[in-house]
Amino acid sequence: MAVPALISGVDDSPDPETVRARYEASKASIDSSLAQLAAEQVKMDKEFDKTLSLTRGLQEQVRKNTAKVARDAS
Amino acid sequence: MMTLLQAVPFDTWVPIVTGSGGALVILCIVSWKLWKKVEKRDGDVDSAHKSQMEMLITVNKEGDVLFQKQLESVAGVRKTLEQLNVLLGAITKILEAQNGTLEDIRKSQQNLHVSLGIIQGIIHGNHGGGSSPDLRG
Repeated sequence: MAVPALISGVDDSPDPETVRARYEASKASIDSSLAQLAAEQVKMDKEFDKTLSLTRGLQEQVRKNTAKVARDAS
Repeated sequence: MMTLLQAVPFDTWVPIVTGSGGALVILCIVSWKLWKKVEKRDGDVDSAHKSQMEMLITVNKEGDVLFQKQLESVAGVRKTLEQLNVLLGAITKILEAQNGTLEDIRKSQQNLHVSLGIIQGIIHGNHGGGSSPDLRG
């Protein structure tokens, strides 16, 4: 057993500076994750806008085709 | 002229001196105890701050894990949307071809086959089709 542990009342928990450093590291990590998430969200939003645009184009094409079929039938 | 010491009898000085000394000792003890109390309180503040930071570290780590999971989820949705867009583009081309000649329809169907191949490649983690034409309309 380490000698300091034999002395009663010795605080063997990490010192405040070490805890602060660990806290800063965890904060930096979560900030980085948030930034990545925000960037991914922007990319997903753009992709979704593209999906909406393609869907509108598809709807328009269906409308045209339906009109053509109706014209041909008449 | 008599000095104060000479004027006041010795047996009068004794209680005065011992009383003052005792009061001084008590004052010292009270001051020391008060000082130790303040010191202990400062230590408590440091300790509370440290434990608060340790709690924040735990919260940050758990939050980080959640954000990473959310990131994977959003990335998954984006990839699915990309695949869907390829498919929508191909279907639109087929429908456009229906407005044209039989030859156009045949070409569009070929394009659709290529598009489906690209989608299958994406789904199976094989990002092939890089040299394939962009069929997304």
